[in-house]
Amino acid sequence: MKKLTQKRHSYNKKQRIVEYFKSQRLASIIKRRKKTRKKRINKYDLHLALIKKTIIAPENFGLTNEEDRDQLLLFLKKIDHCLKSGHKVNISFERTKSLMPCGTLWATTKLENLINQYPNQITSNYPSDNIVEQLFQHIGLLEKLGKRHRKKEINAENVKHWHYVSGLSTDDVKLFKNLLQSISLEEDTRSGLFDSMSEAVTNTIQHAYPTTSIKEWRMFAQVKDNRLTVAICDQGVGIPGSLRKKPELKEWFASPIHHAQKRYDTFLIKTAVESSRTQTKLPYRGKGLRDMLDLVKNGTVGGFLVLSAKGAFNYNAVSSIQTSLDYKTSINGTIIEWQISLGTDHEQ
Amino acid sequence: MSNKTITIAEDYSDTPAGRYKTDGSFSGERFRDELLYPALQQNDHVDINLDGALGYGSSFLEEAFGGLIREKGMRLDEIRKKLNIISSRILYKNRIWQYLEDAELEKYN
Repeated sequence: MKKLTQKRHSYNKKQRIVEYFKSQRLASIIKRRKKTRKKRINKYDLHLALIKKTIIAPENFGLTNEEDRDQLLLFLKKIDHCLKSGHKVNISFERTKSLMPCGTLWATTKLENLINQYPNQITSNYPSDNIVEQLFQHIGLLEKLGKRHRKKEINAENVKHWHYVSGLSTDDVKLFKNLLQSISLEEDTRSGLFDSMSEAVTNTIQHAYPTTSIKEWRMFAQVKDNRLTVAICDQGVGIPGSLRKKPELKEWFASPIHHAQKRYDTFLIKTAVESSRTQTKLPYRGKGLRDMLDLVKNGTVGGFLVLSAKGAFNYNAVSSIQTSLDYKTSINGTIIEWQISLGTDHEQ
Repeated sequence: MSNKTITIAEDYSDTPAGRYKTDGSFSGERFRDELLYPALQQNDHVDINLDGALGYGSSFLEEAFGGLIREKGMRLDEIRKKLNIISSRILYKNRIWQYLEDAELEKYN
């Protein structure tokens, strides 16, 4: 081994000392910076926590009209964004006047999830509209928003007959029993409606949440103007999202026409509702939506609506016309709605 | 000759729903495995009474009956000889026999 000269030895020693002090100094700078940043963040957090943002709910809770849909989804997005940014949120229902089953079901589902996710961070004012207040009280939303019940009695005819239930598996379809037995329906219609509703729940459990263990669904039902409206929703991947990943449909999508249309959510919903098994080569699964449509097609009044992601499929039993539409905005999930005529002498 | 009658509303559930056991407690798969298939194995004639339940989704019926051929390896002829469906809704009877025919076609053609 080559022996180091005295000069070289002394130089190395000096260098090691310099390196040591350099690293010490750097560590101290980093520590000081971290401390300052932490202090700043704490101050910022405190500042945010003190700011409560008021978000005004839209006038109409609907999802089929493009404008209503945009406003409702924007309203829900704003709440989500504020909560994520650390703000508290106060919802003003002052302007809210019209509650459509689909839109109300969707908004309630989203709001309840946010309330669970951010406890004590969302409050609200009482709605100025009496019917809206009665309904939000009836379905328990006001209580979840920290408002005590002001109405001693739910007396509005179009609120009394709203039913709202939720579940996590097909076991909970027993909750449909009370609803279906409380309404005067022909036996075939009652069975057909249960078939469709239980099938919608089965679809949710099987397809909507491929990556999560919690498979939640919610149902709203309303009796109004001798018409029963039932809507079931989930916040899963949506019918288009689920179909795009199905290996059974690979051959179906391989054709040039279908391949081009595959990107449209509406096309995929129509495929799920209308196409026969022999066309799509889907195996024994996936016939539920077609049966659901058949239930409404057998009647002369009513309708069937599927909203999923950006797409919509609608069948009107009065005109026997089916339409489909691609919206600009997407709901992250699926809503299926049936409208059934109750005749003129139904009991409630 | 041994006969058996299963009334789904009384012997299983009046709100049956779901295809697989993972969907819920009263699925078509569980009905087939625990009631329907054993009854067909042990008896010469089996009556399935569908009346009394609130309804039957297509997934439940398909898995319960179509699954006899697909999963249990039974043949349509054998099922025709042994099984009788009782229902005031003709739709359910038609659907069940259609599911059985589809399952036979899918498995053996």
